[in-house]
Amino acid sequence: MNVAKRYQVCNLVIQSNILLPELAETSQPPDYHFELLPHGEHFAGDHRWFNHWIFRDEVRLSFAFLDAHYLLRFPDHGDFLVSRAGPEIKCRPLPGVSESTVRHLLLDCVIPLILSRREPLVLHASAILAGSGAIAFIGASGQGKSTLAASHGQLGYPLISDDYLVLRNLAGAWFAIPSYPGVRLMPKSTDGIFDSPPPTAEVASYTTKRRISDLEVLPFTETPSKMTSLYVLDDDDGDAPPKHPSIEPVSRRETFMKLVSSSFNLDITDKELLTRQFATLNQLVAALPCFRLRYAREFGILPAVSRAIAIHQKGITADAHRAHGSPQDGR
Amino acid sequence: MPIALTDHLRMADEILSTRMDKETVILNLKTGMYHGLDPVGTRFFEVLKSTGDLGEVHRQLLAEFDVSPERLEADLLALSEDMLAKGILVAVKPQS
Repeated sequence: MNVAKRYQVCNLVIQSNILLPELAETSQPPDYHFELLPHGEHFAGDHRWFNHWIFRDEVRLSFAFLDAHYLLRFPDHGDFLVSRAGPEIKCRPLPGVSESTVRHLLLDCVIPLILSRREPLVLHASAILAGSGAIAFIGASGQGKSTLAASHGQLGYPLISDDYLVLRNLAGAWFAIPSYPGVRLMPKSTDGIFDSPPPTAEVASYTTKRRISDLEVLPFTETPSKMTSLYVLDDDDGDAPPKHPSIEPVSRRETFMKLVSSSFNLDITDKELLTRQFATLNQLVAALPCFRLRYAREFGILPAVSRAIAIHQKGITADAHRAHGSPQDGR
Repeated sequence: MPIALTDHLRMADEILSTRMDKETVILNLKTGMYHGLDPVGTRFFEVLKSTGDLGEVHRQLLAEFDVSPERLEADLLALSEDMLAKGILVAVKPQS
């Protein structure tokens, strides 16, 4: 199928030659043109590799310069070429790779990497709108960010993003910018969270995860929301998780390093970008408190985790009011 | 290269650092790598930046921390070698 539709995610407009039903259509002029090429082998040429993403001892994504492009190589799935000055994104999938896989790699990996050059900060994080504002869950893959976000969504908390979160500083406050409606869950998570099976769609052919994007099932907000806190889901100390959810503050240095390891960055050789990101992280760590959230990875405990976060958020809001004075103070 | 307390070191070019309470985060722009320093490492880094003299760092930190001279020397040299290997510090050649 050859189409030429335009889609928007955050402030990025993409014209695509394949349908991207996960994204909202727009008539705005495109920043990038995405072209899905016929199946083929990896791009040949004079690659200059400069970064590799390794997860569980396997290279999942490699970054190289190739002529005037960034080459993003997913070893088992194919190559993306992103022109360094814009506006082209091309994908050549390996033989047999499905279009859903290409869409997933584009939406959930290539686009956040491109956004990392345009936005102050793009985090590998899920975010929800709690009563007091937006909160983000950060942590490595498999720590339960999406499950926790979906669990909150099932309780009525609007979701802001599933896998990547754009943060912007607007008038001195940090705001979470919604990406697109959709949460990717393993079947066991879906079964554990929902009383009846919700409608789902394939994410990619290589994973059993399914995407839930029905707004009747999970509410999503379309408007930027002021951030109040970060929650780290990693359990670094190796101890068994506590019986009841626990929330403890994280030092500013650890927060900084967690945010670094959670940040998308298309070009780690770009010193200007690194310098800007360093300053952004410094500001963010000074502005947002971060907490370690520990709980047993059992679906039955998720409502208690949500309650613990809600109570914790009320405490943070009360502390902030005491620190800054309520509107009634001084009358 | 083994180093000694008689050596002089300085922060490499293209290093960004920020103090976070009693700890420090360092970014090496040449490698794109971030590094963290605990409170003791932070104190070492600060004194070294101001003096550049490992022997002087040893003297100052010995007065501040409850540690034997030998243990402090071993820790300072190990930290220095680690930060040299990561390109955060560079050796300063003695002036002839």
